[in-house]
Amino acid sequence: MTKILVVVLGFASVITGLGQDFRSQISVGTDWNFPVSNKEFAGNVSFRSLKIKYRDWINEKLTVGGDLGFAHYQDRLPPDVYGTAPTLIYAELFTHATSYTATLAGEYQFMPYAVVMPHAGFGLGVSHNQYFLFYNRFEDSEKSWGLILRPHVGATVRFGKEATWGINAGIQFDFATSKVPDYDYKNFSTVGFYLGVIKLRRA
Amino acid sequence: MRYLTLLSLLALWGCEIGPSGGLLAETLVVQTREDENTAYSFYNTFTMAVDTLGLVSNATRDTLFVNNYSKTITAKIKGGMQTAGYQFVGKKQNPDLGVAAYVVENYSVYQQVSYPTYYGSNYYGYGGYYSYVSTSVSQSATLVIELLDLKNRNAQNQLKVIWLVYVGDLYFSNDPVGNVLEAIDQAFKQSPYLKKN
Repeated sequence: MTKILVVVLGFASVITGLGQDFRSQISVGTDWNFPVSNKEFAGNVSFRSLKIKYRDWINEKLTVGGDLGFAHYQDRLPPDVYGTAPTLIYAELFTHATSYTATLAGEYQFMPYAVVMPHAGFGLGVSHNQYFLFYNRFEDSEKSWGLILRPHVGATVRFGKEATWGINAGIQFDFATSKVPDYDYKNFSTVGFYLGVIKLRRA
Repeated sequence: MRYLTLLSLLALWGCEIGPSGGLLAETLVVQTREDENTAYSFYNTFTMAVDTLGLVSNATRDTLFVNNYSKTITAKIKGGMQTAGYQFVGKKQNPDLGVAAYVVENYSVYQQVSYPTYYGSNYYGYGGYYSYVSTSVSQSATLVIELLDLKNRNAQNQLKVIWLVYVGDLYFSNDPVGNVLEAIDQAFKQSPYLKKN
């Protein structure tokens, strides 16, 4: 019985790291975003992205702050005929879209101060999207602004129970209201996997 | 400062986009325009200048291409018309249609003097700027094919263009001859109305 108690308490102390508290945290990382809307324009996964997240710990369970980031999407559409009669255009299209986002965000920390700190949160902000069409030496572009909603879940895994460095990973759903009627682009929705390095600051 | 560096990195990495020129140059753009009031099947014969291509350019006083390139291009257009069912005749044989093919070339040089930045003091303690002249050269060319209705002139004796093709950019191509030949094929392919029954 004593052995079991020692094991349980030992495990708990590793997991929770009791006695610590944090004041703020910053994370820098990249995310892989899968478009879930308007795949005809750019349906490929975005591997070129960057995100910076800053959070203040306002109490033991809640973090609030902001995210800045961008994600770049690109696709190559095989040569095809576009347009409507009487004018038709045959071209090979290279489509590019870059989404810049700025959100205010917050999370509920399910196991604060643990080595593994899972969280769930929500972000709300603005997105500025740029869309480019390249064909031969010709180029067409559009820009749009919209609101962005970003529910997300994830976890911070610290490199040890006393560590202030760790890995931040999560999954998010982005829904942006950006519209580009010329490209029949109704909104900008993606599912993304985030992976970054996080630095926590103690109070 | 660290945050500013991160933000700068974010902005810079996000700005640089676009496919490589080599990929873009793999396929020419082909634009066709149909005259929706024309019954293309009512025409029987056509004529065109074979072996020569017209040239409209601001870089040269020449007005014609007369070389293997022009022979190859005009032969392709002629073949396309014949495949569509029209018979080639000489221009004195009262043809129904006329084909005009020419290249529009635009050559421009743009120069700009820039004073980009202050670079500090020189030996005598005076500040200084350096300037440089940047020169950009732009050259583009489009192959234009016009199909003219020779049977129905208007009151001013003007001809109507009943089929129009733009192929470009001829200078932005990995295979200037092969890509143009493919583009001419494509122009006929995306114009199924251009057919003699």
